[in-house]
Parts: sequence; C-alpha cells; structure tokens
Amino acid sequence: MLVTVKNLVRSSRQAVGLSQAELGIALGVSRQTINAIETGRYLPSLPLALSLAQYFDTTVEALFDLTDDD
Amino acid sequence: MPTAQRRRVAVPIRVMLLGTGLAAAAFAGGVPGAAMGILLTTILGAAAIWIVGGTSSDLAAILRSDPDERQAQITMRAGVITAIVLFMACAAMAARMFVQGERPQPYLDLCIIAAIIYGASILWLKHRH
Repeated sequence: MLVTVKNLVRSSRQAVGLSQAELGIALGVSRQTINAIETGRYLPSLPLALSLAQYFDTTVEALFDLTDDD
Repeated sequence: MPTAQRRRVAVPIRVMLLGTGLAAAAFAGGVPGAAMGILLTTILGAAAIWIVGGTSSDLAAILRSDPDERQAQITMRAGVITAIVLFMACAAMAARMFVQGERPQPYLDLCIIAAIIYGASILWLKHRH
C-alpha cells in the first residue's frame, strides 16, 4: 500500500490571489519550495505545514490529505 | 555589513581560503605551475559563486548559506551522494591495488577513516535525536 499526500496549497493560494513568490516570502521559504510543495515533489516539515495552514486560516488536515495509491 | 551580504560572501571567502592554501602547498612543494593553476581556478570559482549568489535560484540560496528547509535537504542529500561515491571510488582503488599486489594506501586508509566517521556520526545523531 503506497501512501501519498495530496494538498490544496495551490488552490488556496490562487483563491487569495497570491503568486508562489509572494507566498514564499510570507512564509520565509523560496518560490521553488512553494512550487515543489504544490506539485507534490516536496513534503513540508511540520512547522512549515502548520505555518501554511495558519496563513490560510485553516487546519493542516484540511490542507493536506493522505491518499492510498493502490 | 548587512546579513544578506555577509551570507553572500561567506562561501566565496571559504573557497578562496581553501584554494589559496592548496596553491601555497603546491608552491611550497616545488610545483609553481600547479600552484598558479589552482589559484586561477580558485579565483574564477569564487567569482562565479559570488555572481550566482546574487540570483534567486535554489543554487544561489545554497551557495549563499541561506537555504530554506527544502534547499537544506537538497544540500544534505548531495553531501550523502558525494560521500557514497567517494567511498566506493576509494574502495575500488584499494581493491585494484590489492589485485596488482601493491599496498592499497592511501585508499584503504580513507575507507577506514570514512567507516569510523560514519559509525561515530550514527552514535552521535542517535543520541541527539
């Protein structure tokens, strides 16, 4: 059972009209890291995941979701 | 000097110090041609690192000693890959010299040192985490 993590970071960011670079600056990470999170190439650390959730005024569970790749 | 500027010059300065030290060693060893080559390469390399450090790429952030968590992970993994490849190269060279009936130094010594450092690192990191 292979588990992956899907996230709503891109849709959340677009909903508030931010660019990847602007979101990166707000959270203290690079634009490339935001892009890597949105495309699923990078899983953020717990502090960064919590910062993302806090920024979008939501919870980590709402922003990130475990899925089974069967 | 502002922090951002200090970060940008930190790696080029380290490269200059290392390269100058190597060049001085080559010069002291009576190989002035190699010393000049090392010095020139060092200066060009440090300049290139300083220039790249002014951009906004992942590589620039790593070279500026200013990585975010993902860039720091990339740097660490690159270090692991480098260590594994170097260890395998030394092991291969030691094996080759054994086969040729020669003493496997310094390659075997390097393999032993690497194994000791790896074991010590595991113990230290295990204790910390």
